[in-house]
Amino acid sequence: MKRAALLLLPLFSPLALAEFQFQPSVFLDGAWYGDSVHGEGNNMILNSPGLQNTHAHGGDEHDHAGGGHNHGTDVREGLNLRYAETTLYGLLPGVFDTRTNITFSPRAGEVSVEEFWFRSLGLPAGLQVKAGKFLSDIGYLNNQHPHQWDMADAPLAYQLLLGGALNQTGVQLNWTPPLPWYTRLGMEISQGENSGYASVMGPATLHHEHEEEEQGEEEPAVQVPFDSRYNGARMVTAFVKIAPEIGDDHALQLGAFWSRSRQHQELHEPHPGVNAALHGMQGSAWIAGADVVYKYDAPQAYGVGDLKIQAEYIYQNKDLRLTYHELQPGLVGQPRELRQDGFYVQAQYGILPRFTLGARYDMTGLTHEALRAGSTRGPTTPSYFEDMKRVTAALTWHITETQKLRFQVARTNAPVGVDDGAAGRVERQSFNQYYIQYQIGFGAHAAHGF
Amino acid sequence: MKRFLLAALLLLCQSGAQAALKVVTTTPAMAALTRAVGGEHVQVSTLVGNDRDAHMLQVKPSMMRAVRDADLVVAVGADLEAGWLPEVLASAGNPRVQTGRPGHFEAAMQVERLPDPPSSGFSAHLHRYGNPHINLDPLRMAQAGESLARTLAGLDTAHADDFHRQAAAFRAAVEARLPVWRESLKGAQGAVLYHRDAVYLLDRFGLKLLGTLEPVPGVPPTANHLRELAAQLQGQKGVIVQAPWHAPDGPRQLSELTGLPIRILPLDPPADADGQAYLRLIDAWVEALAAGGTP
Repeated sequence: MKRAALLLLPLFSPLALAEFQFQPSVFLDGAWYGDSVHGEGNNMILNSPGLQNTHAHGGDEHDHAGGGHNHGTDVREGLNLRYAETTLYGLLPGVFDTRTNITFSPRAGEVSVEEFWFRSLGLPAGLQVKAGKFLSDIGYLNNQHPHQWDMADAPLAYQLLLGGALNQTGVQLNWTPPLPWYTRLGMEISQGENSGYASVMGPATLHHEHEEEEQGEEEPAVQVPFDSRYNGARMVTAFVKIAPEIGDDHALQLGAFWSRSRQHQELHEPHPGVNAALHGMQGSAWIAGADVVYKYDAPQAYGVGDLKIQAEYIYQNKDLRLTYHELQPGLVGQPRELRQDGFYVQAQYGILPRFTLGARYDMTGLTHEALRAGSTRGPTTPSYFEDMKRVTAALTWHITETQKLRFQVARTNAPVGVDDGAAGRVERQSFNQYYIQYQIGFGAHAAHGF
Repeated sequence: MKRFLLAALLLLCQSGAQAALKVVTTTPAMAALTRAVGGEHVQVSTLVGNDRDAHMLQVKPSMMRAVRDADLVVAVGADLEAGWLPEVLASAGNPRVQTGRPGHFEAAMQVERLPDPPSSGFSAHLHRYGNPHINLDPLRMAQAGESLARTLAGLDTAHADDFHRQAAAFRAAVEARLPVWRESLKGAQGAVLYHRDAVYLLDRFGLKLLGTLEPVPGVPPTANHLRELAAQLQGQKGVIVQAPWHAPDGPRQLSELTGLPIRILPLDPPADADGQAYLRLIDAWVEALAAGGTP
């Protein structure tokens, strides 16, 4: 860290390194988890049949189908240490600040550097540059770490459309123009490697997963010819946030974003009733969304009467071509346009000193379809897929300033694939999920944004 | 785009050729001090009202907007605003007011600070620089005012003499009032505070901190803690002081158990306060502390 700061010093100013301030902190998150489907609740969400059910790698993440970047919030039934997050915040006054977030997730058995960035503090005219690996500033929740969430888990739209969050290695330029309302315009150019959106698999050799049934018998390997082209900055993202003034005790922020990646590769595995054969697709993809946050700060201590309402909508469009089809190689080259969206609405209210009650409604698949139009070969009919809905309630006790205990209940209604003979079918199923989550932080934690 | 940015830059430079310095303060006490020292040469706005706890505040976009155009940010400092000000500064797009720059002033860092009690580890009140709540000690404020005059003089050299003169006048006003306050507090013993935010005032007048209603900073009073506190306070004279935003239950219970009177006082003057209004706030505190002197 200090060496990195030293390297950057000549670029910025002759300030002494002695002024570099450093604040480490650690968050630990543990949860008891249970559900009405033998611990399979989160798998059923992530593997629910539909367009989200893809085999899509993102960067250095492991390959849980559909969801990659879960910030280490995977759980199994019973007690879990979900993650330990170490934050190293550094500040060279007036020049730059830097943050590194390292998350250890025992469940996935991995240590990942979620963020490592430098941000300028000395540019004129409201300009700022940020570079490194960072959570994109799109939307409202995207750049927040799990310890900042008001719920134990992320909204469905984030889990299924963004693979948890849009987390990129790249450069951001943002501008705060001198307007009467706080406004921020930002642009990011990044590598473009993420789960769910902008996933990059590269040429893949696959083995069928029958090892348990047919021990010792080698299945023939499948070669999926994904491109390795477009090595380089593949993604462009733009966002705007505007905060109209609505009085001293109130705050409102409206946001919108758009992002495009010129590479997206995904593998669809056979799934009862949805997809008969393994096939791979690649092309470009874009996402767009809107978000709104309202906060009321009540004149009482310990958060009593405080209110926060937030809502986000995300739309995803993938413009792909078949690059591999296990049963019908003749389909290779055929276009596929995949569209899916999702939203959530969430409210959080301070009911008692240090107790907040939260409610969330979220949904994916208001639009959930695959189009084959525009192709000269093959049919032009669109395929429609099911939506998924969830209602969540959470009671959070802020025991001290650095400890939280949360009780969360969710009921999800999701399409589930049923292995019903050769064809299979999709059924809707409702199930409950329960969390008792405990979180503790150590060390002076850096300030949070709005 | 480039031309647009250039135009914006020009606009910014032009607006720099101003009459009054734009000063954004975190708390109303800092606004009062800045008005006392800056007089007509400053245009002051404050990010927090006196009905909010500056410690517990969250970042609001309007704060970034205010800091965006400021020539100077005046904070209490010493980590009092650590939970939100760094992020406001980082997101405001204004290089002039960043920590360490001439447009950044922290009052508590200009004076000798009292140590904080050792932290339990469960509290986010990890003050690296001691207790930051200097705003209720009029003498330390006067001293910070003299530092502030130097900062203002650096930004607006034409009015340097005015700043130094006004800072001296504020100190004189405080020193003139000191004997009156001392006289009023003759016989006063001390106070039970909600949080350790008025200890500088108690320390200035040789009064005792009889206890805090919060067992741990950030944790509201528990029945157990109140009983223990009441037991310690047996036969003790003094007064219980709470801020307007604190729930009245804890102080009321303690008052019932001990017979000590309760006073509700803000920690800061009103948002539009000047030096005189700040001194009136100290008057009110002195009056409240004196009330606990005689049964």
